[in-house]
Amino acid sequence: MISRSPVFQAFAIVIVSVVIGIGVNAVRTDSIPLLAQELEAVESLDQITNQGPIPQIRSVGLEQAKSLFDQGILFVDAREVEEFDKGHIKGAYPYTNFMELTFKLDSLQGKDAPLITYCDGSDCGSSEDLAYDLQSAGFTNIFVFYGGWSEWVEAGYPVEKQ
Amino acid sequence: MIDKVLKSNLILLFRIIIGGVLIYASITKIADPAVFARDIGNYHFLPFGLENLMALILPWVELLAGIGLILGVMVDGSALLSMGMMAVFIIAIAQAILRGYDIECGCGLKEGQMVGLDKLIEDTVYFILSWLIYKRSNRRFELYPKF
Repeated sequence: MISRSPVFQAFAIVIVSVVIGIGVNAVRTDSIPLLAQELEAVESLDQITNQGPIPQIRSVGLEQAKSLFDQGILFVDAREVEEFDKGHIKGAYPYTNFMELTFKLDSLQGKDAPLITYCDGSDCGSSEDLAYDLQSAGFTNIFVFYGGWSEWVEAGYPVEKQ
Repeated sequence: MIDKVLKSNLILLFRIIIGGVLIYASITKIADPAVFARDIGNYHFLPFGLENLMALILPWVELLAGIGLILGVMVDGSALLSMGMMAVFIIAIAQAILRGYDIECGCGLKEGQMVGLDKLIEDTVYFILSWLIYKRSNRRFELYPKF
């Protein structure tokens, strides 16, 4: 009988999973798009103060990150604290504890002021994870600097040690 | 030695262990597919934004295969899928370690653990247990298909 074939059974389970998985996603309120979309990249720095009603996470490149740095926009270092202590973008905030971080950021500049998250470089995901966590905590204007610490150091931009 | 294990009731224990692991691991992923999709994305393993599709489907495969193993429904297919998934996890984690990624695993029993050798060993053990289930000659306590 065909239903005794392990491959047939596995195939049947996968098909049912595809149907349920996509079906459930279609009806749930917090559904995600079937294909992941990259973060919208900021094209012009005029956009950064443009506050729409919807919370946004956007990405910035090295040069944009530097101009934002020059404007005094706050950087948040999403790496481990040990890495932060070894060196970080000048004036950046460490990510020790999420509650503490959100409280500090909120009391320092409110939830709608722009801030930038970064981690090691383009291969790390913690800057983006932190950006989404901050968005869930109510922050509305978040930028992710994908180039991160490695691009910043390579460019010779200002750093400091703890 | 292995023949003895394959015939013994240990197989039932393995089915409960692997089934439990799969069901447990699937629940948080089903609850929050966005987080799991980002965990997958961090591995830089899949092209074209397929991590979202993977995040929507994979947890249900885990859940159904886990239920199948415990209830004794399509145990062959469930064990085969479990082996396949563990193999993929092992490869994904190994390449992440080799490339020096410091990322959240999105795997195993606990949320928020980073990839590392312990995860690799954990999944290898699960793979071996799944393989033993697949190779079993003890087919007691199975509902469908009946042999």
